[in-house]
Amino acid sequence: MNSSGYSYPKTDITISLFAGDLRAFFPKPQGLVESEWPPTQVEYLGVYLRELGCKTVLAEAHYMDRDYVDDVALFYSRSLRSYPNYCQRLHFFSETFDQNTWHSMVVEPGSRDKTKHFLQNSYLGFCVVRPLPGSPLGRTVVPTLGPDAKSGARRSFGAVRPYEVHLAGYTLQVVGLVFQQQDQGVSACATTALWSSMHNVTKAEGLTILTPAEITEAASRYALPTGRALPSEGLTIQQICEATRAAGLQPVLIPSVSLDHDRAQLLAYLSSGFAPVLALQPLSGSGVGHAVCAVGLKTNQVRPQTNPALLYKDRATSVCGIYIHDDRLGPYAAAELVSWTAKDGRIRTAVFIRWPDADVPTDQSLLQAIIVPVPAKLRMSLTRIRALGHGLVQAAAVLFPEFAGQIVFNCRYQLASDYLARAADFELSNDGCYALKCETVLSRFIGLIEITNENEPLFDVLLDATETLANPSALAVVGRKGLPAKYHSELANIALEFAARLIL
Amino acid sequence: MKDDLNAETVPQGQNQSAKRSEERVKQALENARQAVKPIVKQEMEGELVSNELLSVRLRGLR
Repeated sequence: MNSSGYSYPKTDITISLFAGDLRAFFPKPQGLVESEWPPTQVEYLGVYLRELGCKTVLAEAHYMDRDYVDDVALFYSRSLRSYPNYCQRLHFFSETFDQNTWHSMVVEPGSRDKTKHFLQNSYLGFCVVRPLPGSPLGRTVVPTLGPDAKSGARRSFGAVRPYEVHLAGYTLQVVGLVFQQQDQGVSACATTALWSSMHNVTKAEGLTILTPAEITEAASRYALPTGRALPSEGLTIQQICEATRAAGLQPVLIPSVSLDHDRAQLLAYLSSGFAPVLALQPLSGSGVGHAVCAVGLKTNQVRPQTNPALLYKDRATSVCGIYIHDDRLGPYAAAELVSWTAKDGRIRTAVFIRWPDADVPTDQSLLQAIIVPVPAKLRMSLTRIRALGHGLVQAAAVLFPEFAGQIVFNCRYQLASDYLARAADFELSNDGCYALKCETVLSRFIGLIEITNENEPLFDVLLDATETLANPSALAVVGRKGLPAKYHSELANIALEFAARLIL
Repeated sequence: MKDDLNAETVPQGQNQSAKRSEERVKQALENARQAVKPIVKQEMEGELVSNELLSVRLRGLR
């Protein structure tokens, strides 16, 4: 053995102009490659970065990636080929700068604050380039698209979080949700989707974030319907649930029933900060299912009620699409939700997935189930919250007749601390504000029923989400500024009926 | 005792009005519960998980 085996790899940082795609950073490996080169995910990321206005790419030649190192430890280290245990990392910026400018930014001590400001303001995230021949795109975090879609719809991304990045002594931040390409050695689509899905909630709950290798191991510990754990042949829904529990979370499994039902579930969980895994069945008839991670929502106007017996609208009808991490495609891919008549005659939810700059869907699937990793203390199901919400809003439409037909209800979860922070803008009385913040016991997560008149809030009902039944688990009924004082006595009686504290 | 004394000082008309409002809210909630029963039942039934669903394998293709 020669001494070079003990040497450290060389590293450097190189700056390149972004030429509109990432081909230059992903050279084709020697030998036959099964699919086209560059991989679809690399092409997609190039298109997405173009949409974000990327101008400069900074490449770190040596980067130790926790997730990839775990993949190597579990799987690639036992291969005949010597896979390096390190990667490259690419950083993207919306401003133009060259190698000389970068050099100055690093060495000139007087301009440190100015440089940090410049880098942070133009930072568009990063991607890890793995030394794997067929699946080079590793951990990737890029920002979401802005809130306004070209169609006039609104985009919202409740399941994203800030990621800190350390680069040449500077700490930069990007807000997004982690994505990577499946490698089919350690992780198939289900592992990758669950990994993305748990990244926000595990961090928020102070739990250890599992790597893809740890997820596949945990999923295969007690059940191996596919015969072997590695190379990964995908996961069953039961295995996804098992891996979720291993991460210290609990899986909420919701079968897809109808478009209305699915939209309500997706709206509630995504706006509560939870990223659901979606189990899909291709419409083309292939027997193999696919998993993606939902990250954001595309919403439009709330639709009118279609049932003449009901006097209210459901916020869930505003959901016209979702944004997903599809490991066959890329991050934040737009997906339309539509009603579809299946072969058995049942009306199902179909998911049409598109490229960022395309109108024609690239993939069409039926939604089979929604799996949401949630904190263990969040026990009250959304369906139970909605069951209470339906009755409550129907009664409110009768009791507050001037809002009948216009009244809208929405159900979700929220951290009690976040709700209390928001309450500063509720224009509550001093007594009400003090009672809510100091005299009302609240669970860590509250089940929240929001009753609004179109966009003006009327009142909220706060539920103890550690209970299983929504009624009687109401903690408080909070009057909001859109509710006229003449209706306060009715609201007081609603609070009385729910044995909840009235806050005005 | 103090509560009893307070109760005596509330005018009878006001008391009856409060009672009527309470009854009206109670009735509205009960009627609403009946009106939304079909939609609630439909959403609740959707939560039932079958063994077949648990066994669905998700592998995807590159």
